[in-house]
Amino acid sequence: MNAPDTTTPFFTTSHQELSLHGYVSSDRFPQVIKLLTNLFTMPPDTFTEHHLIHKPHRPKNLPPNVETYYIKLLSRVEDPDADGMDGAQVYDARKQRWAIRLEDLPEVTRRPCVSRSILSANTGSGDVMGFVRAMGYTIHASYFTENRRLVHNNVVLTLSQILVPKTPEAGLGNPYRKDEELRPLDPKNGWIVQASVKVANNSDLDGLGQAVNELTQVKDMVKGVVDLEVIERLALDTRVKG
Amino acid sequence: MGVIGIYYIPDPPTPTYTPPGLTTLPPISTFALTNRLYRATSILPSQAPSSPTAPAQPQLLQLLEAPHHSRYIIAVLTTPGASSPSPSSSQTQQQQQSASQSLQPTPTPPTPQQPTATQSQSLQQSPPPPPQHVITTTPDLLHLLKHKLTSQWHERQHLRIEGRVWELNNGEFRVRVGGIMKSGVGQMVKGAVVEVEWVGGEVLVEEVVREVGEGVVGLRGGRWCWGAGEGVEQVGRAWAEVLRFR
Repeated sequence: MNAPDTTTPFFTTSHQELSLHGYVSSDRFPQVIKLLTNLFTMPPDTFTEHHLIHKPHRPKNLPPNVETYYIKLLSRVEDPDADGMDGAQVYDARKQRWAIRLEDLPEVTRRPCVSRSILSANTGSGDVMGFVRAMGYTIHASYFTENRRLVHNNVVLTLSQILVPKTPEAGLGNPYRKDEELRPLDPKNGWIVQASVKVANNSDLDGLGQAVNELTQVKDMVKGVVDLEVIERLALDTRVKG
Repeated sequence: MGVIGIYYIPDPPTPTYTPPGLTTLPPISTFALTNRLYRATSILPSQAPSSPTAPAQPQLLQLLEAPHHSRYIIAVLTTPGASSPSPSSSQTQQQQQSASQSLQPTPTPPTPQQPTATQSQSLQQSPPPPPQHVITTTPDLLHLLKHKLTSQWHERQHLRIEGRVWELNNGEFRVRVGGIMKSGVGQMVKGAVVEVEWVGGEVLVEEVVREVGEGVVGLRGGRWCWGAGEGVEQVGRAWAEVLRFR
């Protein structure tokens, strides 16, 4: 095990996430990015992430009302053109720096947004994929997200596309060979938009109130460019069924 | 970080145990370490029974906070029955025999010597431990286990070790002596541990740490625990072995 890499960006640790969602079709995307760049007075941040969804081993004698959850291993894919990467072509998922994340089912709330708890543990060293597998988890799905991110105060607006491996032979997928090995999950090639605010503590009522205000502000700000809505909370259900 | 060896003494002579080789030296500081042990609530399909008569044992997950070694939490997952069984009692006997053959205490640390034939034989004969995975992570994993994974893992033990630190040979060796306590209880309940750490430059052989521990520090009446691997991984494995169900 090497000394922890302190240069790779860490993910935000556990927090409550309040969010709104929207959709941008592929033909509108270039114009939307231009408009958002003007509104947010910043060019978007571009980055790729790898998501590995893991399913837990479900014991046979579990009582019926006990829930188990899918967990996610999340990592930032290094830009192949960045310093020291030398236009990399080979991708080894095992060597990535993973965060272990559980995104809880959004709570029932009167607030005009989706509110869910995100438990996220950054890791330092060791084979995290092997560790999680030894705990009884199996890889259920592997996908990459292409992201464009803009920030306004505490609101983070992210436009993403989900890319999945084209064939079973592509395995978990190689983000450095996108055209050869990956395809968009959405056959129409559209982009999912998420506006979110992270609140450290779900009992911080003032913080939660402020988060809702800021989300509403951004929703009004981007009206006409992107329509941000409260989506059905069960669409983000990570509980294991059956 | 070099090699560490941990000497576990189940029945130390006094509650505030100080090894004979350190009684005249002043400690340089204190240290503390916590270990949370979780037991899986079910057996994985890949685990086999350890013998025809003994059923498969559940996995053990230990979360170790050792700030003097790492700012992260060291997570050690042990899976009994995934291959060979746990170290048997015969290994402990062999280690205790080799401990009694060690040198008399001397005031200065010994120069590195070749291990004796009996000692190297006992090391080679120890059965391999059950498969282990080690990662370093943040306290969020603790929250995950406590709030969302309670159906899969139960906390069985929360131990705390507190003690003092000595430096030997101009800081080349660090010896930490502490008592194992149940968290929240002030007294030593499970024995004493001595961690002997080589912090000098080059990688050092296990035998030298053992000789410093027994020869210089004067450790008796216990057994050694070593960890495979290097750096934080080695630290995690060694401490996990000592504190597994103590």
